[in-house]
Parts: sequence; structure tokens; C-alpha cells
Amino acid sequence: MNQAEWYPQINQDRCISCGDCITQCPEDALGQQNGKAALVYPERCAYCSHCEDICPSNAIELPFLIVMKHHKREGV
Amino acid sequence: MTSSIKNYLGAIRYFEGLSDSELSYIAANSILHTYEANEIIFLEGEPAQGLWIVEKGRVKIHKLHPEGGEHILHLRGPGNTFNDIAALDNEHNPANATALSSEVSIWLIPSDVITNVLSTNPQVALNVIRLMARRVRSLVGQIEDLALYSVVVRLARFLLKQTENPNLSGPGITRTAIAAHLNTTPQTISVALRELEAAEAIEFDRHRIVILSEDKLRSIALL
Repeated sequence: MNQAEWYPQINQDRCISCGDCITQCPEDALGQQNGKAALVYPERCAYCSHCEDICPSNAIELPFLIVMKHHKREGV
Repeated sequence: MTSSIKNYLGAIRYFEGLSDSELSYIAANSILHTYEANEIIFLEGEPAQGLWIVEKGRVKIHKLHPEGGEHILHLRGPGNTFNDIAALDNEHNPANATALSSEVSIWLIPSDVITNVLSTNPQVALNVIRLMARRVRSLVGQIEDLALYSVVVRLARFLLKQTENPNLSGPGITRTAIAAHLNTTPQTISVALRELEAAEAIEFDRHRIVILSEDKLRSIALL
């Protein structure tokens, strides 16, 4: 599985460049690229989903894998 | 390339009972398409091109609201078919199809090929009738869920359904996508997920939603 597919996805068309996610990310993983929010330090992302919760334009989404406990190691 | 789709065809219920030469005929007339995440596969209202079979990645079948929102009718993964109805009645696509993950590859079996196979093989016609009956039951179930059950119950049912078909899970299954499928908002899905976590039915493990107790989840799902 491509690790990048598990990072927060930022829809640049929906992003209104408010900067809320950048200033409020507890891990400082987000920054600005071409005037829009971007995951500039993906290795810092702790997958807390705070950016997804606060984005006023629903531009950020976090993908999930849904597994049974005994299948926890599968699929990644 | 042809052998690749033949592997999938052999495992698809529509084509159970077909001979090797009939499978080869379908495989030779199928076309492989590839898409990136969020790329449109087809639009509602366009003439249907045929039956689609997912080889890799995930696809959403969805309707768009006039105000800009969407309702996801189905999520499809490897080995799943979609646009079956339009492929059979040769009418327009009843919904939109969009790639959910990167590097999606899908086989298209043109409608005329489907028609040729159906007209010469009664077993396939019987398979189609059974699968269409199952689709109707599934849609009745969706209407029942939306009309009668709370978001928590619908979410519990969704999570159970996902684990029954692991191909459906993975990149692209976001809270927004779940909300669009369950006809609610991402914020309501967050609240419902926390409720399931508090009931010790699930837990979060970074990008995983781990089902801790299938029994508890089934109980919440009223199943």
C-alpha cells in the first residue's frame, strides 16, 4: 500500500486559504503551497484529524481502513 | 492483458456457467481504463457504455444534489461490477461514477457484448435475474436504513458491511465519503464514531478503524 494514500487529502479546489489548519495543526505538519494548504511535512502527521474537523470548507479528508481486531495487521 | 480480465470474469457471478471460449470472447472485447483519484469515469444521463468491473482501486457510484452535495449509493472494489442496470437496458447511466483512490483500473465490457452473451446463454440470463433481484433487495435495505434507523445504527451496519468485503475499505473511505453514503454530515459521523468508541465496539489506530467486538457492533446495528 502506498503510504502517501494514508495522509490527509487536501482538496485544493475547496481550500479557501484561511490558514486555520496550518496554525492549529498540533504537529506543524501543514504549510502553504501556491497559496493553498498543503501537507508539507507528512512524516510529522499524527493522524489526529484535527485539520479535518476544523476546516470550514470541508477541504481536508482522512482516509480510513476498516478492519476486524483479528485482521488488524492485514491490508497495509 | 486478456488473461488478466479472464481471471476476474471467472470469479464474477454473472458469468458463472460460461465456457472457456465464451469467457475468451468477452475478454477479447473488453477494454481496460485507468483513472486517478477523483477522476470521473462516467456521468449520470450519458448513454451507458456497458458493464464495468473493478480490477484495482475503489470507485464510488453517486448522485449529485443541485446544491452541490452528493449521496454515495455504492462503493465498489476489486472484482465488483457497476452500472449493471444501464448495461442491461441500454439506457442512460442512472448515476455518476468517480475513482476514489489513485491508480484505479477498470474493465469495460461493451453493452453489445453483454447482449450477445445473454441471448445465447440461458444460464447467464438466470444469473442476471438473480443478481438484479439481489440489487433490488439491497436498495430496499438502503431505503429502510435511511427511513427507520439513526446514524449510529446506520454507521454500525456500514462498518460491518465494509469488513465483510475488505476490498471496499482503504484510501478514499473518509468520514466525508461515509457521510455521503449514510445521508448525513461528516460532523455527525464523527459524533457517531465516538459513540461507537465509547461503547467499546471500535477503536481508532491512526488510519485504522478497528472493530473490537463484532457482537457489540451487531447489537448496536440492531442485527
